[in-house]
Amino acid sequence: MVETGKVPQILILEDDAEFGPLLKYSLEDEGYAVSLHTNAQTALKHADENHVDLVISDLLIEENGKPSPHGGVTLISALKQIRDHPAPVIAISGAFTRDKYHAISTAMTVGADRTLAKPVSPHELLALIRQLL
Amino acid sequence: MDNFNDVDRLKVLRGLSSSETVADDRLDAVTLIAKAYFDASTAFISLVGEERNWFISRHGLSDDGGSHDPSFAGQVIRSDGPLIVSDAQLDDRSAHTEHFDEAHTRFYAGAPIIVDGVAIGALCIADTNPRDLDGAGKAKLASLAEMVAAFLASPSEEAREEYVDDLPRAEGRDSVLEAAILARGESEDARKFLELILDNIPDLIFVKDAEYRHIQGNPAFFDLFPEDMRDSIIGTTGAEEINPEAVEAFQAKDREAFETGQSIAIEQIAVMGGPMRTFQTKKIRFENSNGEVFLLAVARDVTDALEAEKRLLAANAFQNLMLEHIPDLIFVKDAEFRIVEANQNFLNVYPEDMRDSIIGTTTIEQYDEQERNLFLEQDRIAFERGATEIEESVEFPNGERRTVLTKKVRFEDLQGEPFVLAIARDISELVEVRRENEQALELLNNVFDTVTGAVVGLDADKRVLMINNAGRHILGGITAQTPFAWPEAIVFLDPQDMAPLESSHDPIARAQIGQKIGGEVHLMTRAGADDTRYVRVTSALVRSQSSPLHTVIVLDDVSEAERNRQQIERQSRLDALGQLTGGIAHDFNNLLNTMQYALELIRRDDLSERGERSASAALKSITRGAELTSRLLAFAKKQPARATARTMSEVMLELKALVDPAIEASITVEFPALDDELMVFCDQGQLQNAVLNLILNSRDAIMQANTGHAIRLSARSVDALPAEVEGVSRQDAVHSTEGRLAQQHSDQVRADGQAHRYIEISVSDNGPGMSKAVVSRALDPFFTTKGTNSGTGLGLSMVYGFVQQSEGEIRIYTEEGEGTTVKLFLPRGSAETGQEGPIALAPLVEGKGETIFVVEDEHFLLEQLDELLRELNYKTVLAPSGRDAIKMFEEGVRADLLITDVVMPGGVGGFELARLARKIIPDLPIIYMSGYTGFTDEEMGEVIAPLLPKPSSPSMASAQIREVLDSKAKGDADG
Repeated sequence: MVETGKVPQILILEDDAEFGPLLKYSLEDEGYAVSLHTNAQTALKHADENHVDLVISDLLIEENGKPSPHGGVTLISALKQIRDHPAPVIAISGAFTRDKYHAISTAMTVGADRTLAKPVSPHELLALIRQLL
Repeated sequence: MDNFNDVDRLKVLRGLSSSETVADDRLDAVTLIAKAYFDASTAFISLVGEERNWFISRHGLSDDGGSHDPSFAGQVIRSDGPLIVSDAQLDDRSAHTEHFDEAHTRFYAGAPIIVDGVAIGALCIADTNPRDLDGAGKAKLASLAEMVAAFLASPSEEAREEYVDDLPRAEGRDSVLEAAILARGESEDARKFLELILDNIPDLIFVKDAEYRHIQGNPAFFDLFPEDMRDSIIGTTGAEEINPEAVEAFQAKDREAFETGQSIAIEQIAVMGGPMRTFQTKKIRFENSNGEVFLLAVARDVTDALEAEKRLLAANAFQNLMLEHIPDLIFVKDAEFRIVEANQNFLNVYPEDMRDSIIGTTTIEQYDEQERNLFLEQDRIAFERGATEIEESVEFPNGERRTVLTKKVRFEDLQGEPFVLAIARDISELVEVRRENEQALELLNNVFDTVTGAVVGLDADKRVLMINNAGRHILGGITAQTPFAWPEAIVFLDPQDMAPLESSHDPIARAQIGQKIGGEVHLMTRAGADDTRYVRVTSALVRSQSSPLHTVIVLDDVSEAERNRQQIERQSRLDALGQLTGGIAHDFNNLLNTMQYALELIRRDDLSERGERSASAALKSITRGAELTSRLLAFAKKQPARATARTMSEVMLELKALVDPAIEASITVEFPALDDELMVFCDQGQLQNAVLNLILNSRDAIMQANTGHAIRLSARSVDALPAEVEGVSRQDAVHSTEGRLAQQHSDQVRADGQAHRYIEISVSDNGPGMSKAVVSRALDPFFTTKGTNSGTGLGLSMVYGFVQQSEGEIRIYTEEGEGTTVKLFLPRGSAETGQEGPIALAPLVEGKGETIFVVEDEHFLLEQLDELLRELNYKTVLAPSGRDAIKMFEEGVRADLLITDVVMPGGVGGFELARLARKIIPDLPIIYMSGYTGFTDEEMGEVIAPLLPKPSSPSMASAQIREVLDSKAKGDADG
């Protein structure tokens, strides 16, 4: 549970129609304020106009069945490399596996602080969020 | 009917006293002559009486004579000349002549016997065959009948006394003959015989007196003249009648005979006023007892003989013409091998000045010894065996060389002398044509045997009548002579189940029943053989009546093309599968993600024990599902990979740590000791995964079949990747990845003598191996032989995805019962640049026989250098340390170049060795070798020399050595 006072603001970029809302509600249950976006443009706009404490971004956003240019990589590079945004970023991608030898990440390269591979466990995610905040 | 008068006839008959008993052997002579002259079956003389007829002479008839009524004679006397019945069966005149019927007589002819101008009977001839009588025959028959009449009118010596002979007689004839006979004192029988001869001889015999007047002649002579003239010939010269233009000539010959005793002449005489005929006349002078001089002339009609001679001459001329115009050489040899006859063609093979002297000589001296012997041998064979035939190439005496076919045949002349007839036919052109045909055939055969397609000609019984080299090869190295049966070992297979095709699909069987096979590709094998080939089959029926060929079949070996095609097909199938599975896996992973997240949220609430169990089971399944999608993604290349360069020794070390705990102790896993320089460039995690996968596959294979116990890993550098090794790629399932092929292509295009180097990592086991069917599908996703629950079928396909992504290659070498080796070829890494760039493949520079002293403490490297230098045409002297080298120099060992390692144990390093060596050989060229290349001139000390980095490629080393030696040589030359 989030401590009273200042409610941490979390920005989520996730295009999965089921997982996005599930993530949002589970974090709101934990007391966070969540803003859910399905593309990098609206997410970035939200970040520019609002205070954001933490970013959770899916790397691969699909548009009409194809990888969208407005995915997580775009969002993270825009935030970290252009705006030098202070909020920590957790990158989530279905393309990761748990194999420890595959700890290579585009996300890390562009500025993500941590990566999580789908399927994501709520315990892990919440632990990570708490750690980063 | 002048001669027919019954009253007169009977009067005459009566006049012939006792005519019923007339039995004159002269008459018998006439019938005998008539029968013989006319070659008749019967000749007879019949007198026609008042109530009956009777035979007074006969030859050939068995009839008792006269008891019947042979009315033919009666018919004859009613005619005014000879009467002929050619075929009694067709002539009603003889319908009632039973006499002839009895004897089956078909032909008869009769001439009336006229006495005192009255026909009293007939001289008849008869024959059992139908025939005819020409004018001369009729005349002869009539003259014989006249003779009979004369005999009847003048009875023989005995009868003469009894009967009065009142018939007219040819006085002169009798008197001359009688005189001649009497003069010789011959008997009456002899006279009769002479008369008979005179009367019947075909020669003209006549007598002339000293005034050239005819005084007598035989019937043949009188026949010369027309009938109405005959009586008046006697007493005349008669010459005008027979040839008015030759009167002088006749008389000249007469005169000659009278003067010289005899003369011979060839005369033209008209017979019966008809055309001229040629006679040879001999005239002889004789005197009668009264001293009178006469001329006896015998003239023989030689017209026919002359005609025959002319014909013979013409025939000979024709024969000669033929002989001279036949192109063959024709000649006759006698028993001494002398040429006795020859045609012009034969003579023409001799020089012109020799041709006249050929006949009568053997001419063999005109030929060389070999030909001479051959000729004589053939002659001998012909004489001994009757015939011989030989084809020979002969150089004739006129210098021409011809090929002749010579037949020799023995024959004998009329005296029984043996000869050989030889006919030599010039067949040079034929031989030339034959040779051209053979050449054309050989050319055709060469083409036939050179084409790479197999061409096989079959007859209707599926026997091979013709086959080219390619055909013999493709059908399994057949050496049998044609014709032979189509090898039953050749089987066409169904590629699906590798079972032989039924005959309704077998291309050869179909071609034999007339189907046209137009380039179908079939899988062909030989029973008992291991290899299979893809062949393109084309067939055609032969539509030739004259050829036993039924079908021509062409088999093209398209195995390589077909396997390439199949590989490309498999490749694209894998690519398609990869895209499909990648897409599915990604989506599926997202679904798993949501499910897991949701389930775990649920578990955060207090669940009943049952709820907790269910959620936990579901989460475990999600975990397994996630692992599966992970592998799918690896295969599908969707997994992001970051390639880095890493030394192989590190890779192997980490693998060993992973593998050792996982593999049973009963299985030995051998890891190679590796050079630290060897680096591989790829995604290191995936590499470990891939090799681990291969090791686990080997372990499973070994455990499954319990056949072996060893897995061996190895890794080495491969300079030029043997991409398609002939014979290996054909037999084994080789899978070149797209990236590898593209890389190789770019290496080739660059064509600058540079190429990428590769690391080959292989995993071998001595397990049961894989069958062809298994290996051909080994890389397919979800294909597994491990049973339904023990594997996903994604292991090798994941490895495949990895090497493909890494621009490498995977090859599987397997043999059922022998084991399996899987080789991964991966780009070689470099510490500086990650992936190593293309390396120059400089050619090795050869030596000129110089001696090189090599000093190196690392034994393996020393051996390698020694081997390389010897190959490059250098002589070598080797030492394992600086100390040993110095000792050898002091002992007098000399060399053109010293190559020495810098760091060596034993107190004498490279630089020190160089210094000492130069003291012994002041201008000795030196090259240093070292892994460390940063030495300064101060560190080198007294001897500054080029430094060869370790390791160096052979080309680099050889170039450096050559350069140093050449500059030394140049310096020496410059002084």
